[in-house]
Amino acid sequence: MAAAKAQKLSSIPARTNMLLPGLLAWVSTVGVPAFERGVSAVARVSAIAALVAMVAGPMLEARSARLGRAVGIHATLALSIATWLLLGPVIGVQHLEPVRAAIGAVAWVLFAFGWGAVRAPGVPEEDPRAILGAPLPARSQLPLGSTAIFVVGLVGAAIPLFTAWRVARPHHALLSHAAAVVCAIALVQGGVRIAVERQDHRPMTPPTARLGAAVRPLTLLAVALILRFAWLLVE
Amino acid sequence: MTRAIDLISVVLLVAAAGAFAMGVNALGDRRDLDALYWLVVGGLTLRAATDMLRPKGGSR
Repeated sequence: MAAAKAQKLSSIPARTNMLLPGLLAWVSTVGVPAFERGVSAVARVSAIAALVAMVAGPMLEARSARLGRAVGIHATLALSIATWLLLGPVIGVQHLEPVRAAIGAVAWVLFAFGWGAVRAPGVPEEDPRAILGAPLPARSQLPLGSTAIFVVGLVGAAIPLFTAWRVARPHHALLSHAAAVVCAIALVQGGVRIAVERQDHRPMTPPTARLGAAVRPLTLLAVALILRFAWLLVE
Repeated sequence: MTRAIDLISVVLLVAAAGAFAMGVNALGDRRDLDALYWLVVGGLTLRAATDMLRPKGGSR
């Protein structure tokens, strides 16, 4: 009885992680547009059903994890998408509020993280299914400053994503979001590679060889910058 | 010198982030040609930053 009560209490933060960002996402991207003037009743019913599914999912998960996820994730998303389709031009890019849309996008990401699971606390080797034997030490360590470089890449990736919300022209806004996502992925990937695959990990290579490997993009970069400078002079 | 190349690589990563941000920002300011220019510059800068990690003929 006491164990069940403790388990119930411990699940409250997990439920909060699922519900709070979900509610924020629903309000900013589904609820507000669904209750504007001129919206059909079907769209409103669909929006309310999405909210009910979102709240019911975490509650059902305690009884059946599969059912809880089906309702809390799949049904919620299906009903939200149905609402957006029914709303039609009401959620067109020209009616979009950038701040609310940005908050909604971040909230949907947090909603996905809220439904995620992390490894239970404890020592992995104490698990009864663990294979016993000598511990396997890591063969190498991350180079110095790799975390800082990764953070630089991550922050750098966030900047174009947020800058894309400044674009007001409908078609260009879509293009800018697509371009920003591609840039963000490239920056995170580049940041991770620079953080991890640096010289510390491998036999010493002459610095000139490293510079030589990048000579083609560096030359093109120099040409681009010279052209820009010349263009500014002409202007 | 190796540390200096590492530092250049990180500086190029930061510059690539700045160029990408300027490209997307230029789209918002209706400067399409500028946007294209900065996005290309960002791509080249990032490529240069990561190419420095894999010298041709260097062992991995």
